[in-house]
Amino acid sequence: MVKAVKGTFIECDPAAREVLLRLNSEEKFIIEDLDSTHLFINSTHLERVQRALDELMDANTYKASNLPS
Amino acid sequence: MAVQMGSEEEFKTTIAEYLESLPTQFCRRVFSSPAACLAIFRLLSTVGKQLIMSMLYLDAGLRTQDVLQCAKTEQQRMVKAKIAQLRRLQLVVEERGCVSLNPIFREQLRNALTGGGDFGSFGIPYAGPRDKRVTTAWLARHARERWEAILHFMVGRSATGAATVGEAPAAPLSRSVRDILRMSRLMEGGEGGMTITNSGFQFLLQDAASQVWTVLLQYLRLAEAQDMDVVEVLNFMFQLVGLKLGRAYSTEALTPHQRKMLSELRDFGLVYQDEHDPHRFYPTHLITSLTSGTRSSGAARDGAPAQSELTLSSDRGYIILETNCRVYAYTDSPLQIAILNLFMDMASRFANLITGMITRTSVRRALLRGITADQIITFLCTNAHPQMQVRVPVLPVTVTDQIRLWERERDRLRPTNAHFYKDFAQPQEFERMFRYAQEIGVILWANTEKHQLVVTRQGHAKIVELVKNHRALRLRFSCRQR
Repeated sequence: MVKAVKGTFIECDPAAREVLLRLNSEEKFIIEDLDSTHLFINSTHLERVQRALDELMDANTYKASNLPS
Repeated sequence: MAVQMGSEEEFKTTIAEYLESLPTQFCRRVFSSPAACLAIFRLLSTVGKQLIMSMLYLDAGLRTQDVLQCAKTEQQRMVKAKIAQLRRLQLVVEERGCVSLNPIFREQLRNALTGGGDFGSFGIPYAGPRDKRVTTAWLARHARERWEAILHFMVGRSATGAATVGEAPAAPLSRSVRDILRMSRLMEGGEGGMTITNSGFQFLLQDAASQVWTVLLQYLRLAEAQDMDVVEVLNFMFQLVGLKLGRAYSTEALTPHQRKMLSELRDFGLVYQDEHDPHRFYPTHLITSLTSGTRSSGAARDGAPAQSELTLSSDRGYIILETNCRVYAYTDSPLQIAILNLFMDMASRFANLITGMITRTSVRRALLRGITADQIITFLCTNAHPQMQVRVPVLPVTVTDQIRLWERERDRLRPTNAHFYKDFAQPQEFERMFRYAQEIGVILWANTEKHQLVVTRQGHAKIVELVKNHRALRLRFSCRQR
């Protein structure tokens, strides 16, 4: 019997997908891992996931120190 | 200037969209005023103007094919689209393969050009003695002060703006101004505690003309909400746009609604009216230059000293941006400093110069507020120092690319609301649904081997219908909502 699930379809690059998979191990939100660039997730978690991804990506960016005085 | 102002175009189309949305009856009444016809005509693009001019003195219709002959073969599609747009604005009528101007519009535009018809539609000059105090320069200063007070009020309410720059508190604004700011969602919150919204930040980065358009459109919506006659408001607006700067106009012939509107536009600095002398008013450059299109061309600014006197101080270029992302801004205006502070890190401040740097953090801060990379770039471009304006492109490409890249790295996920189908009972069932979804073009993702399918929200509704129609096939369908 066919099942229809409501949610959010996400298109992303493989790197971002890895991050999402890691986040998923902490708190489940991925409904289906479609392929290397597509995921299907629970809509209610979208905002949290986006924020978490943004923070993580930000933490992994090299920052030049402020203006040399 | 090499880079076209995106926002200005956008706002011109918004007023066009507003006109398009008006019912025919309303349009007829708008067109019955020569001033409105002239103002609309001036708002059109060059091609639109050309098309209208070629038809203006023809009483019979032109064959659409003949009109298209005027353009080169490769441009015909563009001309065709233009005609369709003019038709949506109800300026032209197209029937039986012929195009002609809307008769009312034709007559009144002729009147506007030759000075006939209802003379009052261009405003009635005030006959009394001149007020020596009110000169164009004085009006410009007055309008600028009013307008900047509003912008200042908006920035002043943003937490970082006031705290880091340490400026004087913003001047109190009148109630109608605050109502419009709140209605347009540029700011939100109740009395006293108004805060600026994301669209408010975007508003701040636009040039003055776009800002005025936003306010005027909002005023139209407000008028609608208050059951005022929209046509009356529109006609008065177009009348104001066509007035001559520096001349006094009489308020005698105005209707009560128009007087009310005048007093509200006064708070925005779009017109000036002395409280003790309510019989006359002066339009300011903020409103009279709306349709002239002379704004923001760097060459014109240098060439005409009289012009520079009239433009807002923020219209004069003052920003120098180096390839290493450093910014030098020759300004002492707290408003401009507060706006710059939205997307750059300040380093030092001198009497007439501030220096700072565009960094990843500062751009991210702006992006988080909903400001887009393009808005930052357009802002820097329009306000670039004259010495930078002569360069092509105006801004260093390294910096503009970097700002865009910073924006791109923020949206790594492209989410779409969707429905996911799995566990089909039979392959045929999947095939049927897959083919149907393909036909109506709603597939976002599909795996034909695993028999899985992702379709859009709208597609789901249609598929549910299909399934219902297939009841006869006893297809059982369960929809589990999460």
